[in-house]
Amino acid sequence: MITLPHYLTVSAALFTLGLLGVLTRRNAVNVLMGIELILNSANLNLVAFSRFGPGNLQGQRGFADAAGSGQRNGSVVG
Amino acid sequence: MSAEAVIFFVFATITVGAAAIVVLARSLIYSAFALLFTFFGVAGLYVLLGADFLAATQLLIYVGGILVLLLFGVMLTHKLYDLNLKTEVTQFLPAAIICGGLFVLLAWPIEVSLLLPRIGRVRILGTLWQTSWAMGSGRGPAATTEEIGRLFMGRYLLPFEAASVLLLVALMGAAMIVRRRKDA
Repeated sequence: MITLPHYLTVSAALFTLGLLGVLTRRNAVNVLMGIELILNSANLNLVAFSRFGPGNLQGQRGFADAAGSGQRNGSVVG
Repeated sequence: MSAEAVIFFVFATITVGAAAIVVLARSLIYSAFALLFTFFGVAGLYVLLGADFLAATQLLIYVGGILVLLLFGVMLTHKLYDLNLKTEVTQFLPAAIICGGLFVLLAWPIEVSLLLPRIGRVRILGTLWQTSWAMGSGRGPAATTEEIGRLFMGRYLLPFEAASVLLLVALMGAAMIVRRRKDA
């Protein structure tokens, strides 16, 4: 049975890997990739909470904020 | 193991493994293509979580937008700015210790009884697994698009507009940065 902590664990792994990328890389594009990983982990958290938590769909709209900031990152790179 | 568990572990492996390649690969291009697989894995997890609209959005925005932009930026500008494609890694060991410690703190329960027999079986660390989450009834698989639209146009209109204004500002900032200066 796959429950909430499974998804949160995947998200924690994504977050720590992204943090590792941000901390160790010197190239700005690589740092941005790490930030993308962190944003994705946050999104995964939000969606998992909206699936298993008591609320309704409140978490899924939080995706848009993080996706928007990712888009801002991308536009700065471009 | 149920089919759901098998699919979950497949997607989780793809996601985390590709993320590890993103962080550890020597070449920037390898990192970018590994990032593609990470985004696909996350989209698969969204499908498993019943977020159909978000899975499609993940593919459209991240894979179609951000990743292509990153690749274009890398491939088109590395000669202009003499960006070294073999990227350097600094202070890897301390950062790895910090991040590994953080992951253990979050998600890796350890039985203390292995270390100190007198205390008994106490599990420490692995906060995610120790917490008793407030579990709701959960949603079955249902279409989410209509409700997301209602939330955006109703209760969350202000954050939505703020995000769009912020995107506009970022766009103008990027245009300002890349504009060729006449006076310089």
